[in-house]
Amino acid sequence: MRVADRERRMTPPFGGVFVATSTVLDQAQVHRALTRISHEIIEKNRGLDNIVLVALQTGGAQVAEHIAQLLFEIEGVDVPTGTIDVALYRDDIGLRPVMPEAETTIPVDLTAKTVVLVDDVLFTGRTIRAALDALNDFGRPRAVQLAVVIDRGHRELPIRPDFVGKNLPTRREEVVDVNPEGVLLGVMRK
Amino acid sequence: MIRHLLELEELGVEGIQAILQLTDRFVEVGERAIPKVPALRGKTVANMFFEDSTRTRLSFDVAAKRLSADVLTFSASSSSLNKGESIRDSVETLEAMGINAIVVRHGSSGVPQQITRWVNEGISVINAGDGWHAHPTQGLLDAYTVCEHFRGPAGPAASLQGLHVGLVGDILHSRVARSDIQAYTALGATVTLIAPATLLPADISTWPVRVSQDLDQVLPTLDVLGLLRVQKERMVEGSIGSIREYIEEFSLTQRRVKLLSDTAVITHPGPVVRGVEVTGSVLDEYPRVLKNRQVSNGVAVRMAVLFLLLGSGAELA
Amino acid sequence: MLLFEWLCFSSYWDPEQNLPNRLVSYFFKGGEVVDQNGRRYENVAVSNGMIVKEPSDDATEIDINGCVISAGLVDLSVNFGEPGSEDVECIDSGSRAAARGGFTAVLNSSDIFPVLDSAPVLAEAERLFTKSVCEMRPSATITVGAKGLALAPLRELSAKGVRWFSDRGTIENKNLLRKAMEYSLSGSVISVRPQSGSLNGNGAMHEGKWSAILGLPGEPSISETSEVAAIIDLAHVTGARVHLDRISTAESVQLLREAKRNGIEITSSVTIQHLMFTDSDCVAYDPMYRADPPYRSDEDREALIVGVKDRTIDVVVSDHRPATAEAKELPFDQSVKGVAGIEATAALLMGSCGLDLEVALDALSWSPAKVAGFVNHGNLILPGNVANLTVFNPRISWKYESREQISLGRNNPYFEKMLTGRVIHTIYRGELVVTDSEVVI
Repeated sequence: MRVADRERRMTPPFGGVFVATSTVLDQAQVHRALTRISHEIIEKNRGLDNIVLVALQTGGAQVAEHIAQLLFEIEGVDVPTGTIDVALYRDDIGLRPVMPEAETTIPVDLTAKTVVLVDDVLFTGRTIRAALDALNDFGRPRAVQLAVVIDRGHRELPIRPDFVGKNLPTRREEVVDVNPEGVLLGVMRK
Repeated sequence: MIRHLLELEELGVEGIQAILQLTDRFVEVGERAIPKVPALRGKTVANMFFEDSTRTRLSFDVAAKRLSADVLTFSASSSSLNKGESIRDSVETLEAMGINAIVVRHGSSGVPQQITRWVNEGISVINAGDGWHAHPTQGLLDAYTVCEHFRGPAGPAASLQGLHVGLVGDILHSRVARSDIQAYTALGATVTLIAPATLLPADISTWPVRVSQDLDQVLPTLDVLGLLRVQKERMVEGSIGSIREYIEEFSLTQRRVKLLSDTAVITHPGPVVRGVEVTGSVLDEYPRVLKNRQVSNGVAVRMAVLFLLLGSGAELA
Repeated sequence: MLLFEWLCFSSYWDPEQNLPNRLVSYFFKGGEVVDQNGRRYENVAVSNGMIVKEPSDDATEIDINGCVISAGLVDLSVNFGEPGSEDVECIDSGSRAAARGGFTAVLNSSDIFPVLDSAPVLAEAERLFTKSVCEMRPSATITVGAKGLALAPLRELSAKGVRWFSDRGTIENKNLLRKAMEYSLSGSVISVRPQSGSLNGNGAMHEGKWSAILGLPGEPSISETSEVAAIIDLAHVTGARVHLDRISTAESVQLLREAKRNGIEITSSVTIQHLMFTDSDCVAYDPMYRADPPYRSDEDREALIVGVKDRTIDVVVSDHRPATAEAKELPFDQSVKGVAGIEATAALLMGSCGLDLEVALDALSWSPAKVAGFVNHGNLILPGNVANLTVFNPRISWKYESREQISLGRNNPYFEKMLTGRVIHTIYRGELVVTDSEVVI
C-alpha cells in the first residue's frame, strides 16, 4: 500500500492505517484505462517522436513503466523514461516532514522534448507544480503534458491533466490508493 | 528529531544512515546541469569560522547556495571579537539579523555545544570542526565516499561491515580522526589506529578501535587507509622525534604504498602536506585515492545535513 | 604620622578593635551542641561576645529546636576580590556570603591584585579587611609576585602577623621551596599547591577517558602526585609546617596517609567541589566545571571522600573564587577556573557527602582553626570561650536561589539546586550576623 505508507510516514505524529471502503477500479479496468491513455498520448502528439515519460516518485513509477510497456506494444517505440522526486521543490518544506525518498534519474536532456508527467493520483496540484519547477532544472521542454490514473478533484492550483484514467469525486479526508492490483478508495484510521 | 549536529555519537547508526541516504539525492542534484534546488529558499545560514578554513567554509557555502539558502559569513579575524566582543554577543547579533542556522568552526573544543545554549529555539547549530573534538560532516563524507566506492549508493541502510579501515597520523589532535572513528564503526567497519603513543589520547580503552604501531604489518590488511595530517609543531613539543624518524615508521612512502592490497583506497581530509604523512608523489601515482571524490561528496553531505536540520520539517515530528 | 599609623596597625591583631556593638546577649534554647567533647542537648548563653554560664536578664531567647549548634566554620581558601578585582567580588559581599554560609573566619588567598608579597600590600589588605563581617586574615605569597623565582620577605611578614604563606600556584623550583621552608619562622605554614609546571600538559581538565572523548588537553594525575611526593619529602627533611593545598587524586591521599603514619607532620585540604564533581561533569563543555586542580575520576572522588572521613585530609575548603558570567562564557579551555560556592559549602558537606556530623565539623571548623591558628574559632562550646558559633538545621531541604545569593560571583553550579542542611544563624564574636539564613548586618 504505497499511498498508505506515504501518508502514514508524512502525517505527524499520528500515522494510521489505510482502511479501504470501496474498489474504484479492478486490475483489468486499470489496464484498459492505461491502454486508452497510451493511445491518447500517441494521438495527441501524432506519434512518439521526442516524447519522454517522467514518473513522479513514488506513486507514478509503476504507472509510467506500465504506460511505457503499452506504448512499446502499440507503436514499437521505446520511449525514454525517467523518474523525479519532487520533495526538494515542494512548497510545504518546513511545514511538515518532507524527505526525498527516491531516485531522480532523467536519462536525456529535456530541451525541445515533450515531457509526459505520469502520476497515480492528481489531487491539489501542488506536486505537479513542484514537478514543473524541477523539470526546468533539466532543460527547457517544448511542452509538458500530464497523465494520471485518478483525478480526485480538490484542485488548489490551476493545473489540469491531459490524460485521465478516471475522474473520481472524493471527500478531502478520503485517501485513494493506486497499486498493481487496482485502485481503492478508503480512509486513514488510527 | 535532531535540531543540531554537534557530533556523530548522538546520531546513532540510524541517524547516520538517514543522512547518507539523503546524500544520495544530493549527489544526483550536484551532477545536474543546474545543480540547484529551491528547498531552503528564504532560509539564512551563518558561517561563523573562528579558525581559518577555506575548504570547509566554501563547501558549506556551496551546499547552502545549492539549496537556494542565503549565506552570511562571519570570520573572526575581521570581526569585533578582537575588540572584546564575546562569542555570545556575536551569536546574538547574528540571531537578531534573522538566521536559521549557524555553522561553527572554532579552535576550542566544545564551542558549538556552548553556542546551542545561547541560541533561541528554531536555530540549528552545525559543528564544522571544534578543537580536537569533532568534525561530524567530515566523518560523514569520508564514510559516504568509502561506501560509494565499495558498495555503491548508500541507500536506506548503508553498511561498511567487513571493511577494515586504518587511520594513521596525529590521532590525539585530530577531530577528523574522532569523527571518522564514530562514522566508520557505527556502520560496521573495523578501525585500527596507527600512531606512536604520544600521538594517541591518554585513555582510549573504551574506544571501539584496535591500536598498532606497526604500519607495515597493518597495511596489507586494510581496505581503506585514512591518512591524517601531522603538524611539524609536534616535533618541537616533543611528541615525535625527528621528521625523518616519523617518516621512517609512519609515513606513506613509495616503499610502503606497495604493501597495500590492489583494492585498497586512500583517503585524506586535505590539504596534503607532502613530506610528513605522505612522501613525494605517492598520492599522485596511486590509482585509488578518494581525495577529490571526498571533496565533491562533501558538498552533497553538507546539503543533506542542512536540508535535514532546516527543511525537512523532521524536528516538528 | 608614620608612628601613629604603626601603632594603629600593630594593634590590628587584637580583634576586639573592629567590633561594632558587642553588648548583646542571646540565649539559644533547644539545640543540640556538637563539639569535640561530643553531642549533648544543652542551651547556650552568649553575652558580651563570650559564651557564658547563665543567660543575662536582657538576653534575647532564640529557639533552635531541631538544630545543631557548633563552633563557627573556618574557611582556609577564599578570594574576596579586594583589592584588585572589585568588579567580581568585594570584601563586603564576600564576607557576608561567608557568614551566610556559616563561616565566622576566613583565610584570604594571596592572589589578590597586587599579590600580597610585601608589607605595604599587607597593610593595605588589613585595612580593607576591617570591613569584613567575619574574621578575615590575609595569607602572603612564598615568592615575590608568586613568580616562583625569589623568596618573598617571609620573616618580615611573619613578624607582622601573617601565618600562612602560599603562592596559590605551583613552585617549580624545588630548591627555592626548600629554602622557603627553612627560612620561614616557626609558626608559619607553608602551603603548596602540588602541581608540576612541566607535567601538567596545559590541561583544561583531568587527563583520562573523558579528556580523550571531549578532545580537550588533559592534566594527568602524575602532575600532582609527583609533586606531593616531593613536597612530603621536603617537609620531612626541613621540619617545616607544610600544608598541601587542594589535592585531587586518590594517589595523593594514599601518599598522605603513609606520611602521617610515618609521623611526618603535614596537613592538607580538599575543596568541597572535588567531593562533588568528577571529570564526567565536563561532558557538556560547561566552563562551570573547569577547576584548578581539575575534577578527576570517580575513583579519585571516592578516595577523597574516604580521605576526609578517615581524617587523612584535614580540611575542606570552599575555594570561593567568584567570576563574572562573561568569564564563564568563554570557550572551555580559555575559561576562568573555579566556583563561588561559599554559601553552599556547609550544606553540601553536611548533606551530600555521607559524612558524620562530627567529621564534617572537624573538616570545616575544628581542624582548619587549629591548622591556621585561628585561636578564637573551632573551640569547645564552653563558658569562657569566644562566641563564634554556627547554628544549622541538618535536615531541612532548601533551594539555592541565585537571586538570593549574596556573593557577586555568577560561577556557581549549585544555582537552583535543592540542598539538604542549612545554616540558620551565624554568631560572630557574640553578635548575630546571620539570622534565619539571612545576613542582618
